Amino acid sequence: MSGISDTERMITLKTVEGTLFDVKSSIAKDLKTVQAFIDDSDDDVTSPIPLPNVFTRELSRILDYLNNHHRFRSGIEKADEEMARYDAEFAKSMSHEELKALILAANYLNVKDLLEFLNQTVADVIQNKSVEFVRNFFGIENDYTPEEEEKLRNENEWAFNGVEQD
Amino acid sequence: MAKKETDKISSLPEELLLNIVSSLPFKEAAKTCILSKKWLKMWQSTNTVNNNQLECNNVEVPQRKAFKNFIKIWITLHKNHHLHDKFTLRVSPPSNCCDIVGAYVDFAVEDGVKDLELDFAEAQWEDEHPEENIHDASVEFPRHLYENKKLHQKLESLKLHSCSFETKNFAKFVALKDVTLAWIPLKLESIRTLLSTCEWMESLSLKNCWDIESFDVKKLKLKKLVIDRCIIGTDYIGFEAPNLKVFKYCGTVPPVSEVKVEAGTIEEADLDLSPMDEFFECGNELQNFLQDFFAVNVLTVCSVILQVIPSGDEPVRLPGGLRVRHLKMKIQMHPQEFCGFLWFLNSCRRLTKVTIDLHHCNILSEYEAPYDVDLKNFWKRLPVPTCFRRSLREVEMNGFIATSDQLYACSYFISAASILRKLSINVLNNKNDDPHTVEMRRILASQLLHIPKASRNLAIIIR
Repeated sequence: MSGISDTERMITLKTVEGTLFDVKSSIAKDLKTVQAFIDDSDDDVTSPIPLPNVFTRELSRILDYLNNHHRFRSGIEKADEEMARYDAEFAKSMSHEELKALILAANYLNVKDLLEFLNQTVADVIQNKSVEFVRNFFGIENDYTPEEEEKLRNENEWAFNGVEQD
Repeated sequence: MAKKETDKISSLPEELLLNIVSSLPFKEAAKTCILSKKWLKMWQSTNTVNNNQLECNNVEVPQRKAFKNFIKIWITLHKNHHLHDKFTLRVSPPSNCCDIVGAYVDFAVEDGVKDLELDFAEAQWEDEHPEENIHDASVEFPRHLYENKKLHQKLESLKLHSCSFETKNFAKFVALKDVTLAWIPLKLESIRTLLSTCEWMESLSLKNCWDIESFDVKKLKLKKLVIDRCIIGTDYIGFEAPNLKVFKYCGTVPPVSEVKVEAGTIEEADLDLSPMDEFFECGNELQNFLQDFFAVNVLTVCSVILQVIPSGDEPVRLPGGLRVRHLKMKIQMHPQEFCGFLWFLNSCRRLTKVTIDLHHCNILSEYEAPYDVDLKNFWKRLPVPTCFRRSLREVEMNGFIATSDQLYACSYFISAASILRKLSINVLNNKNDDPHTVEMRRILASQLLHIPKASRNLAIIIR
């Protein structure tokens, strides 16, 4: 009944830099933060919705991901392999900084599936890497003394064998 | 959080870090304790562990104590949280770990585990020849669990690798649908007992098992059956399985088969003879085996199958044909595979899709071609199979490295398949590949765009 008009509706989003993105309402549903805003509004949302924490680069990537995943899922034949290929390329195309920025954006916009995928991607990146690498990646300051660290490492050597050298 | 950390984009807020740590396998998550003191506390407080995978590989005996302590902490911490339904424990080598296994499995059961995997196999066993992989199981499925009511009601999937058990004791596990047994000796009697006592079983996978005199089971209710690199004394596989949808077989020889499946029900068959040692003429046995699965929709075959299948009474096609709609070939596109390649295209008269996964395969020594054929000029004058004219719509090639034979194979499809709509060529592009090499592959592939097409609506996609 109202299903048809639902998917045709377009929502406009505005990033930090002021760039405007037109998004189908069916895609906007996956941006739970945005959807909540729409649901809360009394009238139909006509003016652009500002996203003060989201940059153009990140929103563009998020919409790309969602558009593609919608496409894969709506096909008649199972597009599992194509989707897996897309996901792999998507993950590969970003630097570590871009990956983290995207996690922040996806978290703010509450895009559940993408966030899970990004978490797993980061988990895959840091697996089997040296401690220094991981500290660098997350911007962590080491507050152990050399003795404390040595002790912790020795006690749990089973966890530390098989680590890539930096 | 210190202001310094929040200023840099390089740090993520704690809740997001927790999500990432939860996605790590246990061992990796344990390592995060060393990043900083805050992380030590954080790891200890993760109350959802996505990956209930405990792995303890090649751990020296003194370290076992530390590992066991970690598990104890982990179990105590998680006692009040419902973890996911899937529990996996991998310990190798599994000597002296009965208490770890006991504690872990008890905990899993308490938590209402639905999917339990106990893996005590060693990684290097995978590379051994099937005939040599006889390793005694040193761990036993905890006896007291056979009577555990919670397990009876909840356990749906059980995977035991190199872990012995009492077959008849599984009768009470009424929810058990999916069983995988690997790296253990299994007599035919045990298999029969298991199948008749677990009436609700839908899927059975036997991997690297031995001592099986023959696989002779009268009636199977299973929907899925996998026989993977098992040592079956007489190489005999016989059963009647009217509910069977998926069948996978991997071995060194084609089995002597008397298999009866329901034409409308059987969906997929995956036949793999890649462990075969050297070429011998087993085309007739293989065709006989394949014939039992003539009605599948999706058929997957390997390079060795292509090399041996024409060696028999029917070197060109299977008389009667196969009803396969989607043919998947895991091959190299090596001259020894050509005759088999044609054999399958000729036999699958209703084929709509072909997927070719290219990779380095077992090219058998002592190969003999089934008929007089010039393998060097094979592609020059080829017949057009029925499916090319009537049904073939899509071809997909993965792992393409643009060898001349691979290019010829593509041009064969392009120039002869008259209703082909789509040809996708996915060039091999691994993490370690030189981008120039990958680009070269794409450039060579793009030569195919100039070949005259037999089909008016053909789209060629090169990635």
